[in-house]
Amino acid sequence: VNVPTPSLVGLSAVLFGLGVLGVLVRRNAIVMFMSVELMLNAANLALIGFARQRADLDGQIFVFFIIGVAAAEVAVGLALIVAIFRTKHSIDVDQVSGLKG
Amino acid sequence: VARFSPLKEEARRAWRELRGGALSPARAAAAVAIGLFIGSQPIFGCHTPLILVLCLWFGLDGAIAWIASNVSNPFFAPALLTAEVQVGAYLRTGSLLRLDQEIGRADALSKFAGFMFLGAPVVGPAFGSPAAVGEVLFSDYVLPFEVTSLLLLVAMVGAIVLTRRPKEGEAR
Repeated sequence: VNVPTPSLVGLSAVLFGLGVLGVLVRRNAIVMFMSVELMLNAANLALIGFARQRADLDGQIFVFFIIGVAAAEVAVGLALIVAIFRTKHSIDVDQVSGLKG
Repeated sequence: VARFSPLKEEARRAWRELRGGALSPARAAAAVAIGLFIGSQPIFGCHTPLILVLCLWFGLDGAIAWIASNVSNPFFAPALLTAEVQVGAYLRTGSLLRLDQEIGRADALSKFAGFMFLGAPVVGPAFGSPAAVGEVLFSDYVLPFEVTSLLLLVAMVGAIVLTRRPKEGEAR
């Protein structure tokens, strides 16, 4: 299948926009987390699209590393959400204002 | 009075554990597959311990996997290693290696090792479609790759520490 690069970049932009919207609108920590992942993968998609356009492998390799780092981030992030839920009995980010000045 | 022999009992128990349960076609196939894959890697001396660990870990049949891993026995090894070196050379340089007098001994030793480690994972499962990405990943980007693995390890430890329930009388 030969998807033209502009469509790939367009899809990537749409996904990124949805991610931004999710982080701004939703207050549930897990949904916000998923939105952050959506933005991350939109960036991955753009990288792969451009790497294919240039017939260059480095972009694809870079996506590999982004996925690896994202896995680490998800592990720590979910652990933090679990820890917050244990102490606050809520994952609503408005309740977690302990560090507010 | 039944004669009780702890040594014999222990050996029988170890054998049962090694076989990991009743033998079904699927388990036999999995054991042979993992044995062949490990056996064709150029890590001589590490096949058996690796097989043991993997089979005990995944509950596979260790005895059958060990037999399959002996594909690298002295009779088959030359053909197997030649195939691995040639596949590695093909992946890296785009052509098979010409085995003639032109290759110096030191040159051959260093080149063969590199080609072999590249070719073995391909020959093992006879699988190489994302070969180009894998080759770049494991040649130019080995250091970032290893750093990523370290990062994942640290993240895993961090996640476990964060989600651990503290024991009674233990401060968080």
